[in-house]
Amino acid sequence: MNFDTRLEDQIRLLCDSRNRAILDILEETTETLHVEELADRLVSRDVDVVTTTAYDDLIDKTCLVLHHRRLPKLAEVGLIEYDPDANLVTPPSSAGTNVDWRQEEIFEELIAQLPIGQRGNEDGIGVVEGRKSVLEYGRQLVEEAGEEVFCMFINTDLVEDVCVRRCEDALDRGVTMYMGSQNEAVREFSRNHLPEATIWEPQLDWLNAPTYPRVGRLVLVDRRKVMLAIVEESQDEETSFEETALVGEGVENPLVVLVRELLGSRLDHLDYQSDEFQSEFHPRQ
Amino acid sequence: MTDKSDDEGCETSVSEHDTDIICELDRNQPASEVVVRAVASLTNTAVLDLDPLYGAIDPDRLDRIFDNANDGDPLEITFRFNGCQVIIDQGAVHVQAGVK
Repeated sequence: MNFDTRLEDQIRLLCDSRNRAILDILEETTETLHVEELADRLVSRDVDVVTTTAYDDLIDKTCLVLHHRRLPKLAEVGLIEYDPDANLVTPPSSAGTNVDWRQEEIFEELIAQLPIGQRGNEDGIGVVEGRKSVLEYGRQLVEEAGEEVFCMFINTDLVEDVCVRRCEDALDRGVTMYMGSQNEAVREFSRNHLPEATIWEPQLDWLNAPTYPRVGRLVLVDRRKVMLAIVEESQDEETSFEETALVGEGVENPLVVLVRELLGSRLDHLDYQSDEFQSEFHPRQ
Repeated sequence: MTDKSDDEGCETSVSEHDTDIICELDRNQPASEVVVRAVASLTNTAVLDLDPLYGAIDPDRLDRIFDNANDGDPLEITFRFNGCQVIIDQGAVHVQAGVK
């Protein structure tokens, strides 16, 4: 079985926020843009530029980078269409190759395309099927943690007893632990069982989908090993949901890079958030 | 519509027959950008009218190589781009026009 390398290439490019900005702008306009127009929109999005000269220079440089680097790469993997002679950029015509990174469908698409049961390495993303295997994988990850474990859960069903024990062990080893959930019960649970962990409240859309399929748990270890478990409503009466996880390992691994990018500023703001949060919910001592 | 491209921040010397140009590399401009501007300047073509550099070489990879290189490492990269021969070494980009 083969990986869809085009999909992986698309993901790799999407890990770069500048590329995502380009796609956002194309989506907003839904029409053909000249490179200069695109550059103008990109620059005005990002930059508070003071002088006209500085602005012109930035546009000039952005045009160069777009025409010679980014647009040909994006066009090569089918994320956009680019006519280098006319310098015109259009969104891709075929919906099938489009990866809309903001929706959960990106994960469904990944699951549909990938072979089962591999441990993801530098080159690819692995898939782990079934709750038991997912739990086991998550446990292993936490056991291997050297510096940092970053987790997110949607409900307490997913925070199993064994997970807690592994987390306690990790904390004893001196690993920094971050536990996140939009669900107050999970945060309460974490506060009670893992008092040394830093608790936070995710605000990201993609972590808080109201309907299935949704991200059920996320474990990021040492910023280079990740497990992203998707939960799906179960067809079977005995279990409440089915779980499949995407896993990846290695600093260059596309899933790791994507998750780090998407968590990006949240990882930086964690300390701030948790202090604020703590003072809000623990006004005493 | 051919504008002479702006190669500010680049030390250039152009031969008397205007068939080649040398642009020094510095830390402020990625190597890929120096290449593009040098070729644009030499061929009297607008940056956007050149064939994309990506067709000749991966600019990201090129820049990584030069960012990571230590002074004194023997380093030389040669390729064809928009009808020019481009040779990049540690110090500068050398462009020669009229190469098929």
